[in-house]
Amino acid sequence: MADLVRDYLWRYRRDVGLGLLATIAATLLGLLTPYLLRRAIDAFAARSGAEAAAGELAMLAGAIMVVALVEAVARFFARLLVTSASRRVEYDLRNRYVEHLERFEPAFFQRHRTGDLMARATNDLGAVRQLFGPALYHVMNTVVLFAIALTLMFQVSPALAWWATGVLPIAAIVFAVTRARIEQRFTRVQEQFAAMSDHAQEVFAGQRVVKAYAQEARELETFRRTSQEYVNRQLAQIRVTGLLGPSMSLVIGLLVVALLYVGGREVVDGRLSLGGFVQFNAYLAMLAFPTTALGWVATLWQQGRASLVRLHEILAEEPAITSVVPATGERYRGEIELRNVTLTIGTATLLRDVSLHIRPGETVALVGPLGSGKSLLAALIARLYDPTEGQVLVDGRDVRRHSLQSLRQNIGYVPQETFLFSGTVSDNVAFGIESNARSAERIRGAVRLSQLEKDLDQWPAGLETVVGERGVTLSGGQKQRTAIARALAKDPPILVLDDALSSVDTRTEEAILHGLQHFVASRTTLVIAHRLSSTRLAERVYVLHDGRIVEQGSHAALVQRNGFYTRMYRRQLIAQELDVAEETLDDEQPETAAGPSAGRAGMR
Amino acid sequence: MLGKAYDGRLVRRLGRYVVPYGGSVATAIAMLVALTLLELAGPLLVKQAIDDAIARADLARLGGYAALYVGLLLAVFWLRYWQNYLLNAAGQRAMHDLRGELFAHVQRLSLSYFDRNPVGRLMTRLTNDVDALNELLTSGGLAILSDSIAIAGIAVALLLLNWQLALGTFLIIPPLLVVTQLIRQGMRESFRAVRVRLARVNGAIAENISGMHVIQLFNREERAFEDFDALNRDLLKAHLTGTFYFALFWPLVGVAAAMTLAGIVWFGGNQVLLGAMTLGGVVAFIQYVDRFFQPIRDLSEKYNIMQQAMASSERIFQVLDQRPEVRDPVQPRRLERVQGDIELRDVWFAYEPGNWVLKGVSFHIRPGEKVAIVGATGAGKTSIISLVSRFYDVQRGQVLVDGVDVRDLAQAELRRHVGVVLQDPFLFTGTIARNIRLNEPSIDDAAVRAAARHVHADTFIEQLPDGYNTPVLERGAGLSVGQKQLIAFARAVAFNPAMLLVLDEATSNVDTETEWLIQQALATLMEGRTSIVIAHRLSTIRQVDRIVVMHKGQVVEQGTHDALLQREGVYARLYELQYRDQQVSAPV
Repeated sequence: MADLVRDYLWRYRRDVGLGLLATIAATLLGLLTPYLLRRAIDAFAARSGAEAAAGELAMLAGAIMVVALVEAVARFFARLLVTSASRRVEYDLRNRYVEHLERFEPAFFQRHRTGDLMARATNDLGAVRQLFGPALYHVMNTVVLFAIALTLMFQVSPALAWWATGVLPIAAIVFAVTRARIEQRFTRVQEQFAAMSDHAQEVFAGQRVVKAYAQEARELETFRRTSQEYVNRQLAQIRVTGLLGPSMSLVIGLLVVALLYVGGREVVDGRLSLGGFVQFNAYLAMLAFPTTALGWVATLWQQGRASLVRLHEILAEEPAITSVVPATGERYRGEIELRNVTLTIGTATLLRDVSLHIRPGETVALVGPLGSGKSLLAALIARLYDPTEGQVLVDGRDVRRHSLQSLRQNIGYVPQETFLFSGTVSDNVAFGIESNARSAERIRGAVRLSQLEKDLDQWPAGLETVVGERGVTLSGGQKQRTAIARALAKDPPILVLDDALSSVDTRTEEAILHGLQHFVASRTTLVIAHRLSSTRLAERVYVLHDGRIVEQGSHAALVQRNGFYTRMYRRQLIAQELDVAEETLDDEQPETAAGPSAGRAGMR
Repeated sequence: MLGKAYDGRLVRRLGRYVVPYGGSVATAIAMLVALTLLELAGPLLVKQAIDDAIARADLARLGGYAALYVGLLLAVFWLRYWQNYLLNAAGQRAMHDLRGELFAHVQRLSLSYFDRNPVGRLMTRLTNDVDALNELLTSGGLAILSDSIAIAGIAVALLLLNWQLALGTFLIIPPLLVVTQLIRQGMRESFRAVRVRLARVNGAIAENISGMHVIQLFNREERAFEDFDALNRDLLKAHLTGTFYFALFWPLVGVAAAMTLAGIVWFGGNQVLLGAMTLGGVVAFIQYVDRFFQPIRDLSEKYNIMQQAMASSERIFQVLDQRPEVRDPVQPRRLERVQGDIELRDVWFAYEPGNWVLKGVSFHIRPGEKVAIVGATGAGKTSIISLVSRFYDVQRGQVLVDGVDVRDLAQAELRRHVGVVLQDPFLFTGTIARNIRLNEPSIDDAAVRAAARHVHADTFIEQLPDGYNTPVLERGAGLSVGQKQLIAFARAVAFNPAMLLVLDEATSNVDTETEWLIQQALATLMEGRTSIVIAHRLSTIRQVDRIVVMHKGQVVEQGTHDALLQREGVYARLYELQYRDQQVSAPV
């Protein structure tokens, strides 16, 4: 409880505090009504002078109205303040979660699946909101109500009040007895739910096999069995949770009987007025609903705590890749060096003892079969990963001693898998430009270089066309060229093209390469390619195979060598003759087909 | 559909799932009526106790009333507990039926549906949406019924106690209805705004997670967060508007209740003074009126449940109303004494209209013949396998098995005779044995072992800690690609089909011994069966009787390996491109 207040509610202490005051005020006012009722009943029970009594009745009726109006205002503010605070806590927590995720390197997103991270941001956050909203409000309400109602009951009749306090230990006992059982059965329900979902998930994902072997009926049978077990466990849970509400009502009911009997005697013996008896009865009735609702609140509370723990699992994790030095505005020369770099992810070693050196302004190509580690090598330069062994140096300095912001500011990166954000084309192109440096010419220049310009008139609003789920769907080639424009618009001293032309047709590729020739001349460029035509830009070529650099040299020298590169080159010529896209052919190369998939997933 | 809390069409359709449990539901409703009446009797008992016992100082009678009250409470406890249980049981069972129907229906849908709809979305229908419906039955629908009964019961009790006072009390109802209607309008609008904005916020989170590397590479963390914060803030605003209406509702009903109470005190009190009403009568009246407003207060909470349930049922029915594209004929033909003859006659096929994958493909495979199909990616090889096992239907032409159009056969019948070994061997969680026999009870343990032995999978399986009972993790994690493939081969052998379609994935990361095992297994697998192999292994190509060369959706060459090589056509170049290197690495 203390941690909840400290970590989340403290910011809204004013709202919650006022809400608490309003709750106390509303409760006190609510308790005035039974008092007024008592006065009224005592008035007509006395029957002393119908005239006087009638006047008093009118006054009391008016008082009841006024009290109710003021109570309604207080109650309104109590609900508004507390519920709004819970929404604000939800808002804060959601922001904090997203801000936290932004600090993590790709490896984190391989450990935690998107579905899991999303479940925490939706289901768990929702449960936490319930904890700070309805649950907190009810707990507050119940505590205040019990405290005040019991105090007043003691004033009316201590003897009867002692009976009423009996509800507390009984309620405590009921909760204590059922709690462990509820928790256990709740867990069993959740487990079966997971089993049912997993089975369905698997059957849907493997539907091809299920259909191929005509196993639909059998899978349905299995599903029905798991679903039946889920029903059984649900009902087992309901058998216990179903007890909470009725038993709380029973406890309150028995108290009413006790009051009826004991209080009745008191009235008969003249120790209590009839009005007092009715008043006491009304107080008791006020406790009935919150007591019955306690069971529901307890469930919300427990689920909210469990979900908060799940959220904190993520919030407590710290990124492995962080800056230790502050950002500088400097423009890099663009020298890149890898020294004996080995990269191991999980148990798979994806790069082994790789060394390479790219001089400022040089253009170097990196080729090799799928899964040979090309993308990971490029990712190391932008420090999306840190090497397990060895060093990555940019401008002669280990990337771990650069500011992440400065490093990435100096790199224009076109990732292998194109990812555009929903928004306009120009928003996407200007993605890496500081808002104050964003200009129409800069965007147009990048659009021209990436050969995106000719597509603009195909779209309804040109550069301002919205792309993505709620807008125009771009073709693979258009997406890729937008991603190239995005990298060029940054005007970076270092350019990384990770298989950046794979979805572009040969003629456009030609045009892009032609346009880029001038751009890359003054920049350090690393081109990763399946198609050897892209390596034409390069002064030197490195061939990567199974995480190692196996050949290097100029295109002409490598073709002569009659090695790996020569074979690639020969295939390329045949493929062109067959008019087949060879990056797909590459998938079928026996030595590459099912290479370590982690390399691909690395860039998501 | 956004925000609607009641849709008669949907509710009637949902009602059909409850019909089988009509007995339980009817009992629960009867118990509910009894319960409501008994609960209403409570204040009446208190009234009698006051007027009859306490006012007359009759302690014996007071004891009697107390005992009666205890009996009443126990009855209420019992009724309430069982009513709740029966209702939940009926709800759970109805949802179980609905889940089963949904699951069965999804399995009937063609593969093209699975291509279009991500598994995650189907899962949401099956789990979250069905659960939302359960809420409708247990917390929403019948609670409203019970509230209506309570309101009616209270109205009758009030009229019996004092009809003039009762009619006066009812005067509060019309203005109350108007006010609640207005508030509900506001709630509905804010509910709609919340849903739209929540979808946007969650979409943004998902987008941020998927594109995180781009955000980081372009130093966009701060601005991406600002953009997200703007969306999150919008959602907060919508929530706060909703909270305003939510907070308003309860106190307003409270004011209405107090107005009624004040009226009773003033009017009822005067009646007592005039002797027209007893004191206990007024007390009972006040208690009833208090209960009268309880269900009205709860309305705001139930409203949300109803809205969510309507949205969920709409989505569920959308799936249930989806017609499978590949359907069994009304009167399927049967394959008598299967020969294993496969023929494609001028087949045209496209996954998307206009984008032809197969353009007029014809070839004939005689019983027992082994044929390899080769070609570059995109040539249409895989589609042929999908069409022969009728995962999709052709747009033009015919696929014939033993001279019968596959569309005239029941899918289950066709697939019993046509075995498919897929490119990516899909393994289910469960044991190795379960993955070989799937759920087929006719394949016993001996048959499983025989199948494994047949494809040489027995050696590695028997070395596993629990042999055939070793559990397979999700998607076969923990097994090598080669081992998974051997298991998939064993599966095909266990089902013993007359015709076999194999997507022969050439596997890297396979040690030479496993590679040899796979080659041997493939050979034994095809023995004596009509086989179509999408070949990636040179060794496989060498084993077949005939090679069909596909290029851009058409058959361009056919013949034996040697004959085709001599032609120096497409095959000769493909051979150079795809297979020649294997001669070095894999001696045949």
